[in-house]
Amino acid sequence: MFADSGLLAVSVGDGTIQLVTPDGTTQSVQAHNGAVLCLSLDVDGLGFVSGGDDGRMVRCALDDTSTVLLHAPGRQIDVLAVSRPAKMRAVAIGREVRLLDVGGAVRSSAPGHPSSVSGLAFNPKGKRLAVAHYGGVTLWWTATLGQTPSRLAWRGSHIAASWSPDGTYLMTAMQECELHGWRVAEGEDIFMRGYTSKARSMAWIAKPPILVTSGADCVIGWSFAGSGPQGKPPLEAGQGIGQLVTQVATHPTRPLVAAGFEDGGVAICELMPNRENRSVRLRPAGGGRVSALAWSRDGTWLAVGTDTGALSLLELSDPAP
Amino acid sequence: MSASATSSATQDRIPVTVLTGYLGAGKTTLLNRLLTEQHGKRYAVIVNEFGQIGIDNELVVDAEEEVFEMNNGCICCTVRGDLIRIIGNLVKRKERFDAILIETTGLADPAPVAQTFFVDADVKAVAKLDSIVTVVDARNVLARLDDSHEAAEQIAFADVILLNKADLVTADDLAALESRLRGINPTAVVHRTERCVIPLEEVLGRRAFDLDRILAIEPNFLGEDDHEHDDAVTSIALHETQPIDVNKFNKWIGRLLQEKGQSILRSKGILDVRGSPNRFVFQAVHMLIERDDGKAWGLDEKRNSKLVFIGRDLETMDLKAGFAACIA
Repeated sequence: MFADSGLLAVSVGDGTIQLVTPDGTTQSVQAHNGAVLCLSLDVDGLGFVSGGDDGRMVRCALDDTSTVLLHAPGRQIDVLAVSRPAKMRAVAIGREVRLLDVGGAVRSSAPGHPSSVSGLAFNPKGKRLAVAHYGGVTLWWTATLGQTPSRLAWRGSHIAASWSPDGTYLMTAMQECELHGWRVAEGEDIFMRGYTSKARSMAWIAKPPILVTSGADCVIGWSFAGSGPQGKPPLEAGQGIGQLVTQVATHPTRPLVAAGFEDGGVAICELMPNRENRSVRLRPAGGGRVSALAWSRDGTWLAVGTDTGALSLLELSDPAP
Repeated sequence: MSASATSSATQDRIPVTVLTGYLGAGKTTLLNRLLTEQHGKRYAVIVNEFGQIGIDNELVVDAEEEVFEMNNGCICCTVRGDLIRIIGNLVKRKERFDAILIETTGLADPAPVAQTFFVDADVKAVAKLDSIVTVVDARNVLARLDDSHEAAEQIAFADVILLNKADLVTADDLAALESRLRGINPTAVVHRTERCVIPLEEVLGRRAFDLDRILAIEPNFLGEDDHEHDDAVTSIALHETQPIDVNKFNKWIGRLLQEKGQSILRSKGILDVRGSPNRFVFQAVHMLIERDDGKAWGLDEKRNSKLVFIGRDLETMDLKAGFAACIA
């Protein structure tokens, strides 16, 4: 996860967050007692918020002491989301969702979702919050969280949520190795099947809107141009590597996708409709499966983390392959 | 461009022991004994009543028993959604632990817990079901069997049964109890305990769900006159000395579990397959089935086939005839 300044934060299974500056110095912050389970850039674009299996939600930044924002003993804080436009952080504690403002005060809370919350996503403007759980998604208006929700129902367990960049669509990854989604204004359902694994990692190319996912043996892209992806074959890239894609991250400005594979390999793939898409392998296999991928804001650095704790920083001064 | 060094190799899958049992049977006593014994092991514990029970362990996670239906065409396929998440999170810890203990509430059906380890690819990659241990209170298990179906299910799913508070009933009652438990589940190991005092190795590291350990099945073939109780959950053990046609068997068992898997809680078997030098082993939890080649038969060994079903309405399923039709 990169900050605006190019500062990189890496979460580690020993509870530390490693802050790596662009000149290569590293500062280790003991944020959690246990594993760090989730990490996000904070509302100011400078610091980071994380959740851990010690039940804590923590903010940390360079030359700043880490601040505990929340502590729920015995719980795992594994889902959080941050909206920079709304200057809000959302965190799930079991079935409950809380909204915290910049100062760390709890603005509102919504207990009693149908099951433990497994995904949180603010819409691009930060006015709505999608809460994924068993049986569908609960949609809140950020301003009135805890009052009257609307529900997008679909049978099964929804394990991650992601909004299209224009806020028209809300997509979820499912326990059953498929995607589900809704055109939010109409509540119309969309689903995509055929994944070999859970498509937990989702990212978007902005124009034309393409949802890029993990979960197959190549990068899968669903174009939301025109009438949307329903019933159409997906775009594919990075075929032939013969490994399951475990993480995807879209380049901040170009129609490029970084894909991390089960064997630790990383490739950069073009992903454009109506053409053959090339891919370049950047990191060889090794060090366990890729569990995290992040582009710097300007797209010149790609950070790669793997299951066994290997970190690779790849500089891509000319990202055109 | 730079890259830092990588660390250790892939770890073995973490064994998971599930503790079930009716309220007050002694699950928490057993759990505390497992955790406080001087064994030098580190356990992660997943419980449902965090804070209400005194458990002295740093790795305690509070879980809600969230049973999710899977939309995979299998009508009885339910999993524990909370376990999928919690186990995935636990393995992110840098310092590893030796086992995971899951305590279920007294009213829980063990099937979704077991099925989670059969169905979810992420869980399967990091953890494996070791055994299901059911603690029963010798004084009131009979009453529980009469007034609740969960009690029978917990006994049906057990690999190990602790007949606890054994000191509080007479020897005759204990023998009768044990016979009734065996009528429900002939393959579980039954231990009589007081305050759950039992050597740890009788409870942990049993590998009861490993296919190669299915070989250890020695079902207690009951004489006809032992069938004196009408428990809703019963068992049927089948034995065959002639070799089996594996294709016929696969077709039969596949269809049987597809149609009756809701009623058949657990089934397992070791088969003498015609033409194969190895034992054919299989086990199933409801409709979810696993099968593989087991150990080779010895040259002088007497080859035969054993099959055990535990469930409801078994007598209506023509199991004996169905199995006999699989003879090569």
